[in-house]
Amino acid sequence: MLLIGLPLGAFVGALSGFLFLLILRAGFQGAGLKHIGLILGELTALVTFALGGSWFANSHILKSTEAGDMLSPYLLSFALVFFLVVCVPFYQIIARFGSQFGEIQQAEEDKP
Amino acid sequence: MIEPWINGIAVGVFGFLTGGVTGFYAIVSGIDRQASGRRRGPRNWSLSGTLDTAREEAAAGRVDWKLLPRSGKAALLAFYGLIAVMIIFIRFSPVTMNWWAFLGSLFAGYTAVDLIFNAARKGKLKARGGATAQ
Repeated sequence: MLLIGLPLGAFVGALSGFLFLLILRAGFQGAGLKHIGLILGELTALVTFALGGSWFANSHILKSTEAGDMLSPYLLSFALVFFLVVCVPFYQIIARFGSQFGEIQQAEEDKP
Repeated sequence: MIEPWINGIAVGVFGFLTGGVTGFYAIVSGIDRQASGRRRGPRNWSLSGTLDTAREEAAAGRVDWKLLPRSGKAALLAFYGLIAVMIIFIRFSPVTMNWWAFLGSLFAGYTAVDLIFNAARKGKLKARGGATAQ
């Protein structure tokens, strides 16, 4: 079950991570209650997909596997890959933001 | 049904990300320092008119979406998004809430963001694509 759970979790984790970032980016474009409702709906669909939606229930490839057995490796690789995919752009944003702060502070200190 | 340590990792991931986003929002908005009356650190730097106005509004207890800087909006949206995903994930998956793992990773995420931000501010970290002051 490790052979199925780990790569499947990694694949779904990567896909969910990228989708999460895309949804946030789309949500950033607009404002208002209706827009936030749409974003929350999309996030709900994302979690449903990640936890095994129709791709799991209707899949012929996974028919012979027992869901309970591959749950632990699946969740482990899903959580780690999702974390990595979301963390990398987030790290870049913080580092860029910090650099900008540093440059501005330096410029203010250098002012006569 | 799932191993307790895997449960802890799954909850910890969400806790770490939520803590990180909270830390970033605290840096951007400056609400925490203004509210406590202390004036120190990067949160009180004068960056732009928009950020200053947003800070004044936040200190007065009003947070206006339109006045928030771009990065503040992104952080706030990411925060709400993560909380929503976490609630749905825990509700509909075999993962159960582990408060110790969540709180520990929340604190770790907050601290990590603070450390990364300060290191980048001091020039010890360089972001990809370079930094451009505006």
